[in-house]
Amino acid sequence: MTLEQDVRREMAAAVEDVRPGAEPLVRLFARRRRRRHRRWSTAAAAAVIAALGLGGAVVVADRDGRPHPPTRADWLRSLREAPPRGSLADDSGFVDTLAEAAGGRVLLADDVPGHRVAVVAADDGLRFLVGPAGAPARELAAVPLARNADADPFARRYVDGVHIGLAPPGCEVATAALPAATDWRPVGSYVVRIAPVPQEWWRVTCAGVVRYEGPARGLGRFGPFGAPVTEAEVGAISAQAGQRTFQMPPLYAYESFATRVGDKAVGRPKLLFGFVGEYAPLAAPAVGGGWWLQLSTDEGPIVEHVWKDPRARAAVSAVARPDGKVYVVGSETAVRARIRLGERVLAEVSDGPVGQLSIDPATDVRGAVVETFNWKGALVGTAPLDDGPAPRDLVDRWDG
Amino acid sequence: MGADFEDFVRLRYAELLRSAYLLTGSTPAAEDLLQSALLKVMDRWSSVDDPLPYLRRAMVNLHVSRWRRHGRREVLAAVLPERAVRDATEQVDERHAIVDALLTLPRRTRAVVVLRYWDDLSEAETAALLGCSVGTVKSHASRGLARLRTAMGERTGTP
Repeated sequence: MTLEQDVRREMAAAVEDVRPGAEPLVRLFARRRRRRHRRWSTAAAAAVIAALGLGGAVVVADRDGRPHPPTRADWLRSLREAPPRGSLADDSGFVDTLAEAAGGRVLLADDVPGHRVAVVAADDGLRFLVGPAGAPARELAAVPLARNADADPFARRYVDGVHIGLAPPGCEVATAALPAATDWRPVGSYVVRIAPVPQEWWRVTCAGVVRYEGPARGLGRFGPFGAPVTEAEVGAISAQAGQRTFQMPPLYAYESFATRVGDKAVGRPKLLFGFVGEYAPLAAPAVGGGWWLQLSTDEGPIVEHVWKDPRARAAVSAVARPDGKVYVVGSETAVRARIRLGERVLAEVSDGPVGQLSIDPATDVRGAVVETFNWKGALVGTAPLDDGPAPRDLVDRWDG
Repeated sequence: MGADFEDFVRLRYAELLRSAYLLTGSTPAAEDLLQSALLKVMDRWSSVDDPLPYLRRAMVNLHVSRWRRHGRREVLAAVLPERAVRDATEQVDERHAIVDALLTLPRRTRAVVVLRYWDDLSEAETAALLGCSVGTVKSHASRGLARLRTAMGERTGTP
């Protein structure tokens, strides 16, 4: 292998886990709005912190005194400058020593069964410290660090079997157990879970507005119910693949799936029939109903929500991309697929159980259906091309 | 702008983010760089014929610029994906060996290496994007690869 090839391979490995944060477009437009309204006065910033610290008022003023809703940056500032919380917060000796030893401001110091935990705001981000029960401050500060660049006002981290979520002061964290994740129970302004952590969603409400809602572990490399991916699961996918081979090992497909929606699924993903693409097609039942479906595309694996069970007999599932490409997974007997809008056939392909079709990207696909046929030409499956959004998805809304 | 721009972002964001990550060495900085470049582009979207090279050029220029070299930046608005359960330092080290090595390169050399060997641009395309000669690109690429070979060799203990 040449050095150039080696560099390419290493680069590919290095970026494998690089994923965009939630809703890039929303953040981009919010950032543009902020750019137009920026340059806060020191007085206004102080007012923001005071207002957020009290947790009640969430409308602040800009330099001209005009009311202005808080931004993500304001919430972050509020989080980083909050007074210590937790069962050890009033132990000034412990907090001061920890702050000095860890090099930052103590945001959380708490004892939970079997562990002493802390969160410290340092210059390079938030530090999540998990030590043994009763650990002195200096010992706790010396444990290997788990850092989070603090770009998220609801700071979360899973460290050594302890899962911590810390919301800005004044906000309320609630938890709800899977699989429904609808029975919300308030737990305060932070949450600490120890292994085995409950399978649940977390929600943060500030002054009556839900700012965050999502699987407890957020995005991460986890399987269904937030459990770490195991070799056995990957082995099961490999076994299902049988003689079928994919360019990328099933592990990659499984990890991609787990990273994206593993903790928004309520069952383990299974392999779908199909051959096209580098990655094995997978599907698992989704929290709130429907299915998460992962298909291989020209841009790599994508995950979309569909309502019909892609693993059912004679099922057909389709995913339409913004560039007009449509990826179709059919049943074992399907050898031809087409997209029909009323009487008009938009696209047709006959390359086996999984197909890639192209339609005009400007087409309004509402009302369009995907149909698959067997080798005799008989209809074996039909499904809407766009069957609506996922019932449950991440809420992450700190601007405005 | 409108839907066209939004479709472009949806389609290309992840790909551009990975390039930005190799330029900057961290996901937050990559998001910051990419979003800054998109902000520049979105205001003149209607006049941009081929947005992908335009975006790449904007990212590289922002990355190389003195303003960014001095570390000034807006507060990040990124939502960071949490990493895997395993937080072991050695795994992070292993994963980022190439990134650490890239960070030892001068920014312009790093940009050439990323454009050539990650974005798969030709020497001529890279030169056009950076506004320099093909010879300069060759020179940067050669020096960059040599430095990477040394840096990566030192990390893995191989010559």
